[in-house]
Amino acid sequence: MSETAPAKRGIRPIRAFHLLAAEAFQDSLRSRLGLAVAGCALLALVFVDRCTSLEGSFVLNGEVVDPGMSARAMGPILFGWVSLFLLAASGLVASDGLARPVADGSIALWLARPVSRTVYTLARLSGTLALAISAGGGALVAAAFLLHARRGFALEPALFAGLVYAASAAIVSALAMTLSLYAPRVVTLFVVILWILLVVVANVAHLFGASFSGWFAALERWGPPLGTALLYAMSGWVSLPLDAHDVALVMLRLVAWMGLSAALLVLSVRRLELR
Amino acid sequence: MIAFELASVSKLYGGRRALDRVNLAVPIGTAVGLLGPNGAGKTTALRLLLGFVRPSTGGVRVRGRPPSDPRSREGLGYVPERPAFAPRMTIRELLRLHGGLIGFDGDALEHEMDARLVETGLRDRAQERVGGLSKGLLQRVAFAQALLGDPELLLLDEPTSGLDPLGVRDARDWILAARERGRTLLVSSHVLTEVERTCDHVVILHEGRIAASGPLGEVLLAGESLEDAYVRIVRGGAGASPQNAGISASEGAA
Repeated sequence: MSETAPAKRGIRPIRAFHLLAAEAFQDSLRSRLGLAVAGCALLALVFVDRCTSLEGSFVLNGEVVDPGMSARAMGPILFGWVSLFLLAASGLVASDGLARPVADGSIALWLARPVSRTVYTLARLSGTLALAISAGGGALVAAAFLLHARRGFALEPALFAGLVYAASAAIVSALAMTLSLYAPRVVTLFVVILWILLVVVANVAHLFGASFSGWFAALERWGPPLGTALLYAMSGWVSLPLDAHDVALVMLRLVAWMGLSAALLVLSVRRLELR
Repeated sequence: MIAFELASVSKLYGGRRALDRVNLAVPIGTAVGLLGPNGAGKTTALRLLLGFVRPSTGGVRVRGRPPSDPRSREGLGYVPERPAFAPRMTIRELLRLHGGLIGFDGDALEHEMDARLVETGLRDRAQERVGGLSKGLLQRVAFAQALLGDPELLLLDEPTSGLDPLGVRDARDWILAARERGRTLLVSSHVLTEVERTCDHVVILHEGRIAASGPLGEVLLAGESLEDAYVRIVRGGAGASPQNAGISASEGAA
């Protein structure tokens, strides 16, 4: 054997990361959850297609809503709902992305290689996230073009909202992966969806002037600003007056949560004992 | 130079003590059989060396590095007791990724993969998905990935588990070939005859402690088989045998 063994080069963490992230992407793609995420993206697109094709007027509490107002609201409402739906889908795929190799034991042979747990974890996160963002991003791009072509919505806010979606998906995926190490998938998914809803309700209610106290206020003030950042990104569609300093702080908080959630995931995996 | 070292290592799982102040030093180039009843701590010892679990007390080193350092696993091959792979990958895809992770790429990677596929008798099944393989074939895949790059250190946990007689013979040949090339082997096994054939040192663990260790010739009494010695040592309790009283665990496999 040794006489035929060819020369090899040393392994670099960045190369190991690329190899493992590609494997994680393919692994997610081949799984049933990969199909589920693609289905979610398709469903979201059909929803946008149907809604942007609607004609006529809206009636709210027996009164016809001003057509101009309902037309302006369509973009952010549709895009916002679709983004949140796809965020939940990214949580779905992430809830399986690390828990499965841990549960079936296949993680052991990867970690028996000269690969750090940090590299392995970030590669799994990136691979599953790439699938979620590919499917979700595709649906959002198509939604943006439908809104633009049929209703005249500008594309720029959709681009900003797409970037916020990607950052939010990174946060949701990392937190879902972390939770999946300690809880069954169904529980993980339920908690993730509930948590997204709570955060978004708190964010939106706060933007419309509501005030809270206790843990709900803390969630709004210090939690990941999934709803706030998304609404700020789409502000170009509704002419929402914004304070540039406030926008910068919200986006900074979103980025900080990306780092924090990834760090929490890495820390959890580093502490994990593979028995 | 020491390949594997456990220095006064204890490992507790909850209230259960899997290893109790174990000292073990395996010099480079030796082939050590790790023996003991179920629950004696053999697999725990291997998992400590791979960094899968952390010691409750004591220190672990692989070629002088802590297992938390990925460089401690450079040039190390591992065959687990129950090989588990991503089930949707084909054998070739799996080997390609493992080869990539130890630094092979391009033609060198293809060459190395082909060599290991031929060696382990998997060449004609390289395109099959790992998820559909039998236990014996999975064990062959485990050997194929462990032997990639002709690693200097091999950790084998029940390497013949699930193999048919031909597979056992093949596995023995792979292990003996590695030994002849001067590789360091740590083989955990219940199959004492295989250990007797493939290893030159043995360490017998009992209830988390080293009951006996040393070169085969020193552990066995005159005319005694390894099985007889094993029964004598395990039934007699740690350190009960005069044969083993003089064997320091820290000298162990040295």
